[in-house]
Amino acid sequence: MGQTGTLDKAATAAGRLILEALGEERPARSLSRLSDSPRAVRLLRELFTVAVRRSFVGREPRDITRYVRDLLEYQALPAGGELAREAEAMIRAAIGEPELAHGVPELRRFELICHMVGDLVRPPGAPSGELTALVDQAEQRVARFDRPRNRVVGRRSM
Amino acid sequence: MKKNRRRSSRGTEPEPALPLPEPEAARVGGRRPRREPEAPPPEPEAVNAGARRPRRGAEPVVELPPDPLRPEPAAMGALSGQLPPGTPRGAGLIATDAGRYLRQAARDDAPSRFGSPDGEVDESARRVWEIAFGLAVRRRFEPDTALAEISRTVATAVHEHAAAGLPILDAEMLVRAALGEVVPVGDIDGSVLLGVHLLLFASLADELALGDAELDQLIAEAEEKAEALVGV
Repeated sequence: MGQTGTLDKAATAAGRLILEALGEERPARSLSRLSDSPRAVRLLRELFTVAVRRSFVGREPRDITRYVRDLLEYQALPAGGELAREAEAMIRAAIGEPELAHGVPELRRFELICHMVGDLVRPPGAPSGELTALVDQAEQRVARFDRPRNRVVGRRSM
Repeated sequence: MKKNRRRSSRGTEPEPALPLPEPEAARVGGRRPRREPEAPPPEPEAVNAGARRPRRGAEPVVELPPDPLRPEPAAMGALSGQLPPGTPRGAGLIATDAGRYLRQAARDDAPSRFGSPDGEVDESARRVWEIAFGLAVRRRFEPDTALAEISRTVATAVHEHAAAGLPILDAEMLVRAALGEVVPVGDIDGSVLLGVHLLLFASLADELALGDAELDQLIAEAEEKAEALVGV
């Protein structure tokens, strides 16, 4: 299930790294290995937001609970406790309830993002053409939010 | 993009756990602060033991007769949801300490604003509060109530009782569980459970605008159900 045909379409090195990881046999594990690259981690967060919004906005919100249970059970992770609530909090935070995920530790966020991005955006979850479009959209979000005028710190220092 | 359906079609083995630190380690430092039950303060006897210990050679301590005007100290037992022995139950009347505490909480009159009473709470009291919470939830919501409506009520309740620092999603999950939905409510901290059962009950009673008689009836019903559960 290689994604090599799409690698050259990503604009950034981080994007290519993520596409490469998504093309591997175990995408969540491969994505987690990108934790050393701040740019890849940043892009992965935006990819998570894009993927979650495309998957869940406009749907019955209880689908999120069902999806999380399904995913965690498939990954042989505990699906009836805190991890499931944190995963649901992350998804709902991305679609408009940001306060829900305030208590989720950074490391756990990254772990859950790897699992959910690996699940939501890789084929057959998304066709390979759409996958490139998702990464492209995530790259645009990174570029938009990282512009100096959009940086909170930059504004404060002015 | 549609929801991923690959779990029935992909046919591959699930991924093993990520090579990340153990969840226990992840919790350290980053967890939302939850109130840990405080260690009980040392008994006054123990604190002052040294000061009050008679010096060697001092005269023996004289036992004073009991002061008839001083009220008897409260029973040393925990706050209980059990009917005191020999007490008849009146229909629609609150009969237990736990029930009376819940009414105080609902009327914003409880000694603690953090959700849980200062002293010990026994299992029967927890049971009464959990059942009362379930009754209030089912009076307020239908099982198919839109999640947005539930979330709104829960968010309002959590903000009303902000001092208790209740985790909002845990509270919402407990409400949905009380409506019969299959949701992840495992490993919720005991103090959070207690806080949600008491404080959300209070908010729901307020939202339902329950009068005194209705509130008493609801709590008495919870007491009866709790008693019946024990009797089974």
